[in-house]
Amino acid sequence: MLKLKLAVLVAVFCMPLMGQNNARDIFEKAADQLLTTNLELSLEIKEVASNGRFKEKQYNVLIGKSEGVERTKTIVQHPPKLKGITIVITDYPDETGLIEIFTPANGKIRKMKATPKNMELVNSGVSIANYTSKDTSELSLEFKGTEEFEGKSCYKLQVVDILDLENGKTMYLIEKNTYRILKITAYNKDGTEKSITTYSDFQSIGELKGKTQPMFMVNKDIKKSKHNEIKILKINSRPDLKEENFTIEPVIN
Amino acid sequence: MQDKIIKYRSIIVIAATVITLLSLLLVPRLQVNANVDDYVPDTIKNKVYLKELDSIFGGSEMILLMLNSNDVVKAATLNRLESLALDLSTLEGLDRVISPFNAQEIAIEDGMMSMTPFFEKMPDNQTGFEALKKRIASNSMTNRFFSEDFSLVSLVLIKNTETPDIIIEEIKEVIAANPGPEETLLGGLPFIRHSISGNILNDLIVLLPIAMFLMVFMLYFSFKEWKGVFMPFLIVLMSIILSFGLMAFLGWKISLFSILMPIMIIAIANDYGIHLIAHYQDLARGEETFTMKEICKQIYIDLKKPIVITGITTIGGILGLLSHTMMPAAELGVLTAIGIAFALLLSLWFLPAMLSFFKLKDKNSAKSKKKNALLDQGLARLGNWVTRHPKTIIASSIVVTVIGVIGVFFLKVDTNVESYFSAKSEVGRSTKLINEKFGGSQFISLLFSGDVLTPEVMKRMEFYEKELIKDPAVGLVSSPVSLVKELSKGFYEPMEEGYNEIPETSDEIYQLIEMFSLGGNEDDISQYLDYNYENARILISLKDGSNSANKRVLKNLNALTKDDPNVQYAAGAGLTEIELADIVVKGQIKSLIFALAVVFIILSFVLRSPKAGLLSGLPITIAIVVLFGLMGIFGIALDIATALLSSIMIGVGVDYTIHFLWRFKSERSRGNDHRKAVRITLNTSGRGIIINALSVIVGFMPLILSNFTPLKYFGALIVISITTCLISSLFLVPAIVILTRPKFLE
Repeated sequence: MLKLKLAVLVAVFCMPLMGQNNARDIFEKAADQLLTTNLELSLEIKEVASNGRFKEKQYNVLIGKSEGVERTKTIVQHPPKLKGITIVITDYPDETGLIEIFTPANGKIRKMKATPKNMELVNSGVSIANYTSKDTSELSLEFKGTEEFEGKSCYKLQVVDILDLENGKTMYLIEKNTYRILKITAYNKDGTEKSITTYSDFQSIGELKGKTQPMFMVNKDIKKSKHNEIKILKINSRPDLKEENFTIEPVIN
Repeated sequence: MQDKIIKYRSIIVIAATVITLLSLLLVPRLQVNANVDDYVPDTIKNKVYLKELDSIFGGSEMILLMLNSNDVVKAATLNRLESLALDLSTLEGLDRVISPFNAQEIAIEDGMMSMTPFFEKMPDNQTGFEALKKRIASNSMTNRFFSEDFSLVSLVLIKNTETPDIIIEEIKEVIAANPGPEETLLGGLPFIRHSISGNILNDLIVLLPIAMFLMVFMLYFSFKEWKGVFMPFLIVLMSIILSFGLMAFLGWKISLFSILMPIMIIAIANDYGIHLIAHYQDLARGEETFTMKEICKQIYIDLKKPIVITGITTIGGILGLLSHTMMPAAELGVLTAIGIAFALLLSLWFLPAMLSFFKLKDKNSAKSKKKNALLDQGLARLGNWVTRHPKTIIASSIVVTVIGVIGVFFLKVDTNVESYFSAKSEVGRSTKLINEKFGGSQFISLLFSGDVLTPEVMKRMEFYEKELIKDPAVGLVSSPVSLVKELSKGFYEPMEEGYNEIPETSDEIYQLIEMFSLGGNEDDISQYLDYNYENARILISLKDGSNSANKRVLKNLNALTKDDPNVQYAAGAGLTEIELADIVVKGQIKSLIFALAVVFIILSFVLRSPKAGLLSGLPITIAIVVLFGLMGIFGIALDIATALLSSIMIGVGVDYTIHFLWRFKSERSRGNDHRKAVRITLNTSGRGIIINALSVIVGFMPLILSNFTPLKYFGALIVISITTCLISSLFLVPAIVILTRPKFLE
C-alpha cells in the first residue's frame, strides 16, 4: 500500500545510492539533503482518476531501521470509514519479511509473508526500505547532459537498476544550483513513458541542518491517465523509533 | 423540347459527363460508419443512460478474445494466453486487459492470509492440471474466464468508447505475433461493429460489380443490341457516381443502409432507359421508316409523360424514408431519390441525345423477329386468359390478401446486431460461442446510487442476482457482492461465521474493498463500483440478445426493483435495440403512409380522378400485405433493412400499374373495347413492364450474396415483392378495369 502512495518519494530517499563518477557526485549532493529513514510522515493524497473523479486520503507513516531490520507502519486517518486500517511491513535482511494488516471494522489482523509478490499486492514492492538497503553497485548511472525544467537548468541523469532489468530506465532532472530533484520520468522496458513525477515546495526540516524535503509531488500514470497529488503535511526525524513503535494496537471502530 | 435535345445533343452529353466527373472526384472522401448506435438519435433514453454509465464506471466496451481447443487447461495454451495478455496490455487504445492471470486466490493458510495470483505455479503433470481445473471451477474470480467444459479460455479487453474500433486490427496483429495451435476468436460489440464496417466495403466491392454484370446480361438478353445495354448501363453508372459524390459532399458516411443505395439505383434507374430502348426498337422495326434522329424525338414524345409520372412516384415513394427517425435511412432516401431523379433526366435528355449519334440497326434482323414472336406469343396468351377470367383473378387475390393479413399478425421485429451475420461467419461463430459458453456478450447494467456499500443494499443485490439468473435468456449476473464475498475468504476461516458472506457492517464492506483496491486491483472493482463508491451496478449478460428477450428481462428487472430506493435505471446496448425496434416500426408505418399518400396524390392529379389514385395503389397495397404476411408466416423479422422494403416497393412497384393504365387509356381512346384494350396493352406495354420488373429483380438479386443476414433477406423479399407487384399489374389491374370499367380511363 505504501508504495503506491509514496512511490514518488522512493527516488528521493534512495538518492544516496546513486552516485557514480560525475553522476554519483550529483546524486550524493541531492541525496544528502533528504531524510531517508527513522522518520514520521503525515500525508494527504488526492487520487485523481482519468474522468476527473477523485478520492482524498490521509496517512500517518513511520519509517524506521534498526539492526538491519527495516520497518514501515502506515495508519489510514481519512476517510472515516477507513480510519484505523493499519499496515506494518517488516523486512528482515536475511529472511522473508512479514506484512500485517489490521482492519478495524472486523477487528481482524491478518498476516502475510512479505514475498515480492505480496509486497506488490500491498504496493510495497519497491518500498523505501528496499531502496535504502540497495548497494550502489546495483545501479547504473549515466550523465545525459542538461535540460531546462520550469525555467530551471537541470542535470539529466539516467538510472537503471542492474538487478531488475525487467523494469525500464528512469530519467532524473536535478536542479543545478540547489541539487534538488525536480522530475523523474520512468520508462517501460520498450522505451515508452510509464510515469512522470514532479517535485516542488521544498522546505527545510527544522531540527536537521541541511535537510530539505519536497513537500508536494504529482505522479502521473501515463497509460491509465490518472494522477496522484501528494502533499506532505508534516515530516519529522524520529531517531527514537523502536520495534514496539511498529506493533499494531487493535482499536475496533 | 425534342428538337432542342437533338439540336444541343453535344452540350447535353458534355454537361452530363462533367457533372459525373466532378462527383467522381468527391468519392475518395467517403468514410464508413458501422456503429449501429449512431443510427439512432442521441436523445434516446438508453443512449443517454449508457453515456452516463461510461462516465461513472469508465470505458465499458468489452472485446472478448478466446482461445478454443479440446482442453485449454494446459501449459502451452495458458502460456500463450498470458503472453497475449502481456502484449495486449501495451496497446494504447485498451483501457485494461482483464485476464485469469490478474485473478487472486484469497485464503488463510496456517494462520496467514494468502492472496496469491491464481496461476502463480503451473502444474507439470496431467494430475496437476486436473486439480487446477477443480480450483478454477470453485473460484468465482477465475471461472468466468473459462467455459464449463474447459474448451475455451478468454481475455476481456476493455476499451474506451472514444477509441475507434480499428483497434481490432492491432489486436489481430498481437494475435498473429503469438501463434499457437488453438483457434483464436474475437467477440463483443466493438468486434461486431468493426466486422460490419469491413463487410460493408466488401459488400459494395463484390455486390456492385455482380449487380452491374447481371444488369448488362439482362439488358443484352432483352434487347439483343449493344445500344440497349450501353445506354441504360451508362445512365445507372452516372447516377450512382452522382449519389456517392453528393454523399461525400454533404459529409454523410457510408452506413449499412448505403449498400442498398447503388443496388437500388441499378435496379430502378435503368427502367426509364429500358422503356425508351424498347420503344426505340418498336419504332425501328415498325412499318414506318424513320431516321435515327426522328426515332429519338418520337420516343421522347411518346414516353415523356409516363416516364416522368413513374419517376416522380418512385422518387416520392423512396422519399418516404425521410420520415424515418434513423438518419442513415433518411439519408438513403435522399441520395437514392436524387440518383433516380438524375437518371430520369439522363433518360429523357441524355439517352436520346446519345442515341442520335448511332446508326439505325438493320430492320430485318432475324434474331429480333424470333424474339418478338416468342414474347408476343406469351403476352397474347396472357391477354386472352386475363380477359376471360377476371372474376377468378379477383377472387384469388382476395384469398391471398386474407392469408397475408393473417400472417401480418405474426410479424416480429428484431434489431439485434448479432443476427446480422450468418452462423457460419467468424462473427456468427464467436457470438454463438460467447452466448453458449460465456453467458453472452450483450450486457444490461442496473445502476444503484447512494450508500451502496451497506449490507442491506448488498443483500438486495444478491436477491436480484438469484432472481434474474432464473430467466433462460440471462447468461451471467455479477455484482460487487461476489467480489466482497470472495474477499471475506481472506479474513475468515472456512468454518467461521462471515466466511464467503456479505459482511454485517458497511465499514467492513468498505474496508475489504479498499484493501483490495490498494492492492492494485482497481480494474476488478471498477467494473462494479465507481471511484468513490457512490454508485454500483449489477451486470447482466444475455445469451439471447433478441428484442423479445431484452424486453422480458427489462420487465422482470423493473418489477423486481420498483420499490428499491437505490436503483436508478437499467441500461444496455440490448436495450437500445428495443428502442431501435420501436423506431423501425414507427418509421415503417410513417414511410408507408407517406409513400402511399404521395402515390395517391400524384396519380389522382395526373389522371384527374381520386379513383385512379386508389386503383393504382391497390396492387401495391396487396403486394405489401402479402410480403409482410409471408414474413410473419415464415418467421422473418422486420429489421433495420427489411423495414425499408415498403417504401421501395411502392416507389418501384407502382410503375407497372402506371404504364399499364397509360397504355390502356390510349387504347380505349382509339375505340377498342375493354377486353381488346387489355389484350393490346399487355401485348405492347406488357413487354416493357416485364423487362422492367425482371431488371429490378435481377438488380436486387446480388443482395442474397451479402455478408449481412438482413440484406440477404432484403434481397430475397424484394424479389418476392416485385414479383407480386408484377402479377398484380398484369392480372389484377386488368381484371379490375374489365369488371369496373372506370370512367377516368375513358
